[in-house]
Amino acid sequence: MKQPRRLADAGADEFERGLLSASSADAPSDHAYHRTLASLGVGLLIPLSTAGAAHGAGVAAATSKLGATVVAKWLATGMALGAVTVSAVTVTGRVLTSTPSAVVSEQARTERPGPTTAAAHGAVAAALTPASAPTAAEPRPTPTPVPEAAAPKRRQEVPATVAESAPATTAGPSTGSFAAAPLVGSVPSIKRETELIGTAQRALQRGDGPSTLSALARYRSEFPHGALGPEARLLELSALLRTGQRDRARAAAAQIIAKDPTGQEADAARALLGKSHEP
Amino acid sequence: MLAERTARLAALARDNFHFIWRSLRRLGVSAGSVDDAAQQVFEVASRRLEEIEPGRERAFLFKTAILVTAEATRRAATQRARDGGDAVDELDAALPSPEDASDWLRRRLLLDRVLAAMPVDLRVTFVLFELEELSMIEIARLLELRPGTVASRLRRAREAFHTEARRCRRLDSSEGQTE
Repeated sequence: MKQPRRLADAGADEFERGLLSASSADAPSDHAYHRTLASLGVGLLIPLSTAGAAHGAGVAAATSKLGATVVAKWLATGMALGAVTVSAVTVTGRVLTSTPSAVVSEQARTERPGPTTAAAHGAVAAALTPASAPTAAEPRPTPTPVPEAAAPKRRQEVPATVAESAPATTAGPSTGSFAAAPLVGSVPSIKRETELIGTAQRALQRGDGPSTLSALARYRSEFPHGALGPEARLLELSALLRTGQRDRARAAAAQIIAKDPTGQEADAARALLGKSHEP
Repeated sequence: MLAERTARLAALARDNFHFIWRSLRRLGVSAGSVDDAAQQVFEVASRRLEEIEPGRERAFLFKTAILVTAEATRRAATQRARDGGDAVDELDAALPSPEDASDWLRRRLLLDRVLAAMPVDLRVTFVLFELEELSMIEIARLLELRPGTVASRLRRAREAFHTEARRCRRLDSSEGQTE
């Protein structure tokens, strides 16, 4: 079969390439992987990098390249902005990237791997040696299994209706029976939300605490449940500290920590408060 | 027997978790729900493990992921309608730098929007070829489709991508001009 070139290499304009490249950083967190292993009863501590090793080298290379770029940019920017800002924004990035809902996080923290025998562990260890390749390319047609229904036992936010309602027609090869997914968000709201946060970030970068707080107040009023809420909260904490409003900063940090005491956002808040005490 | 099953499950997760997580995210599951959705896919596979023919694990997982995506997006739509429909989904965003954050986030969200505008059969093919960089043959085997069908879907998916990208660009630039 003749292979067309990828759009990103030919056929896409700059705007489209920008869209395609924006997916390069899609990757699960270690936490998500280990939580799934635990739910399967095979909760051995397998590095996620091992899990992804068998995947296409091109994608992996692109992802790690972007990851390295991101880290480098963060480090460079962090040196310029100072430790406080770096802590806030870096941890915020991680929060946005990898933190599931607080409910899920709490559930995951209390999960335990399922019962496995010593023999099972041995077999698992053998299975985890980097030998087997992905199996997607097997050519033979088979009866397609129909995902069954059962509620995930440790999750509350994803009901099991998928499996329960899975029609037998899923056995066919076509995936065309599903309707298009709803839109993720309107373009104006996306643009506005990111602009407001960007404004706050730039103000903080300039050392302009009042303007930072002003931009964040606008953000909160327009997007009370905005997608960039964690980032807004940590930026606000940074700005309060920068403007010497320590009582308000402590109150803001307390709210963040109370929401999810062991979460990454709480860690970031503690780090910010801690750094503000440093000489 | 237990050892064999456990080993197979572990291998299943090791070889496919990354792929399935990315696929869920790119097929339309929001960043805030994708961890749960991935877990759900593997839990279904665990319950049906004995029915999955060796060598067809990834195909099973991917088809399950499509079902999970459909359910997740339906649920998200319901939630948005209940909330007034104005909230943007949570973002999956490691910010490249403070200066670039806005642009990068916007592009990622726009990509979600462009993909969401495609019919699912086209979106699946587009994601597998353009983002996962699978070959046409690999896609045909994964989806159990004829190669010609994959080629046709990819062609139509690209047309849809160009159309929706143009629309997003117009909206994006007109927004910028009015501010």
